[in-house]
Amino acid sequence: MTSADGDGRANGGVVSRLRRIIAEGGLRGLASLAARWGTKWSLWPPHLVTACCGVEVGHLFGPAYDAERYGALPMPAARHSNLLLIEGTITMKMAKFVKWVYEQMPEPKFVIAMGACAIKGGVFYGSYHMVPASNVVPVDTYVAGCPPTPEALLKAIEDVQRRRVESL
Amino acid sequence: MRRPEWPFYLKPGETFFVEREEEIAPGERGIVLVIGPQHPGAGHLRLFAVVNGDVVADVRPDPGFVHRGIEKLAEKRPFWVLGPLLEKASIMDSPNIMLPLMHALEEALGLEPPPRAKYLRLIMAELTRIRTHLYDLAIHAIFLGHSTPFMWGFGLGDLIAEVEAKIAGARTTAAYPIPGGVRRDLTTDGRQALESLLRKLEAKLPDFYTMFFKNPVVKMRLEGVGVLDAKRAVELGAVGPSLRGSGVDYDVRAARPYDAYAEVKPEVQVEKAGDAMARQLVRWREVEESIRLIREALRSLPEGEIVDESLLASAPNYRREGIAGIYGAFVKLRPTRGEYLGLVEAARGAAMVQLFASPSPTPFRLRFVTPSWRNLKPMVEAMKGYRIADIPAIYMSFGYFPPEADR
Repeated sequence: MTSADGDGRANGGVVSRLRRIIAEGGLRGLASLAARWGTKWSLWPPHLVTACCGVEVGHLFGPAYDAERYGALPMPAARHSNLLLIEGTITMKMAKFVKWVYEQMPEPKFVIAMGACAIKGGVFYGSYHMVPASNVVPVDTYVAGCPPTPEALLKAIEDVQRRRVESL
Repeated sequence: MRRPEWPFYLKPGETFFVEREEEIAPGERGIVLVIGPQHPGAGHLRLFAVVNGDVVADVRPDPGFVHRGIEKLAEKRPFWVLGPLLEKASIMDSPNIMLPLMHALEEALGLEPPPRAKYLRLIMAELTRIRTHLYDLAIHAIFLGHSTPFMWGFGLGDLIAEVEAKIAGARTTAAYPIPGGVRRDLTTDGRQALESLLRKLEAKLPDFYTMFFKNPVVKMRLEGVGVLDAKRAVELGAVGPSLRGSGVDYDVRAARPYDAYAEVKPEVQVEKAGDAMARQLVRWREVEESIRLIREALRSLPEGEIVDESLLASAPNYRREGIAGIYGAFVKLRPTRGEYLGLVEAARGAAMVQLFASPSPTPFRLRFVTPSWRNLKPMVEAMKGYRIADIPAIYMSFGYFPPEADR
C-alpha cells in the first residue's frame, strides 16, 4: 500500500471500494478480497520460542489478553501456520531453525519480531552469539520493549491484519 | 544396545532411521528421534532420543539455542548495569535470579542493605516464586494437552504481573534489587494491591488444585513417571523442586539464610515419591508457603530507608532524583579485588554467581550457574526407560526453562 491511501477510509466506503475492486480485478479480485479477509482472522503462529519473550507470549494467549479473539492461535506445526512470532533474541544456533521454520510455512506468511533483542540486540547488543531478526527473515512488524507487553503484541497483530486488508 | 553414531552430521530437523542393521544388536529395534527446537512439547531445546519401539533407551540433550553470552557480556559492562543483564536469564523470576549477583556485589563494594530493603526483597522474591511456579504448572498442563490449568495459571500470573508493575515498575523485568537495597519503596497502594492479590490467590488456588492435581488424566500422566530417587538426584546435581521432589531436604533459604530469611523462616517442602507428580506437588506446596511468607513479611515489615546509608550519604541528589541519584553514587564506587559468591534459592532451584572482582567497575570474570542448567542432566536421565509420550510430561516437571539454562 502507498501512504497516499491513508488508512483505507480515504477510498470511500465499503461499497465504493468493492465496486472499485470488481471493476479492476473482476471475480478474481473479489476472491482475493475474500482470501485476504480470511487470512486476516486466521493468523496462526507456530510454536517456535526463541528466547525469554515467550513468557509474555504466554500471557498474550492467556485469559487476560486472549489473542484468540483476533483469530491468532498457536499451532504445533509450522505447516499449519502463517504468522512467525519471533520471541526475543535469535542466537546463531537458533537462526537456521528460524529460517527453516519460516521456509516451511505456506504463503502468505508474516513475521512479527518481538522485543529489543530481535530489533537490534537490546541488552545483549554486541554478544558473539546473536543476530538481529531482520538478518534472518523478512520482518513485517517490530514490537519494542524488553519484553513487550501483551498489549503491544496485540497492536502488532492488529497491524498485520490492517495491512493485510488494506494492501489491495 | 550399541549406540548408533551420534547424528551431528544431520541437517536440522531431519528425523532419521537407523539404516544399517549392524548398528544395533540383534533383536533390538532402534530409531533416533530429533525432538525440538520447534516442537510443542520442547521449547528451544533439542533432544536426540534413541527409542526402542515406544520406550526411550537414551536421550542426549542439545542445549545452547538461547545461549546469549551473558557471562562474556558481563566482563564488558560496569557493575551497576549487570542486574538487568543477568535477570534476562529468567524474566518471570527476575528478583530471585538477580539476588546472587547483588549479594556478591554488596560484599565486593562493602554495602549492606537496610532491614526494610531485605524484607522488600523477600516479598518480591516470594511473589515471583509464586508466579514462576504457576507458570511451570500452566506450561506443564499445556504440554499434557490440558488447557484449562494453562488459562487459570496464566490468569493468576497476570494478576501477579500487574501487582509487580505496581510495586516494582514493570510486569516482568523490573530489576528490583540493586546493590545495597531495592529500587522502589512499597507504597500504601502497592501494599493494598499485594494484600488483595493474596486474598484472590487464596480464593482461587483450591480450584486450581482440584482442576490439576485431582484430575484423573493428570494423575495417570504424572504418577510414577520420570522417577528419580534421592541418591540419583543428588549424584546428578538436581536443585530446587526437582531435588525436593525426590525427598532431599535441601533449600538454600533454610540451609544458608540470606536477606530476611533468617527472621521469616520458610518451611522446606519435601515429597518422597520422586516422580513428575511429586515435583509438581512440591511446587504447589511452595506456592502456599510463599503466600504465608509474604503475609508474615508484610506484618513485620520494618520502617526506614530502602538503600544503604553510606550510599545515601554519597548521593545527595537521592531525595530529588530518586534512584537515579543512587546510580550517580555507584559510578564513584570501586569493588575490592577478590572472589565473591552469591547463592540463593530461585524458583527453580539454587542460583549461584561467582564474581572475580578487580578494582575496575567491570568484573574480571563472572560465573553464573542457573538452576535449569543444573536440572538438565537429571531431566534427561529421568526420561530414560519411559515412553515417548512421557517426554513432555517429564520435561516440564523439572521446570526446564532454556533461557535460564543457556544463559
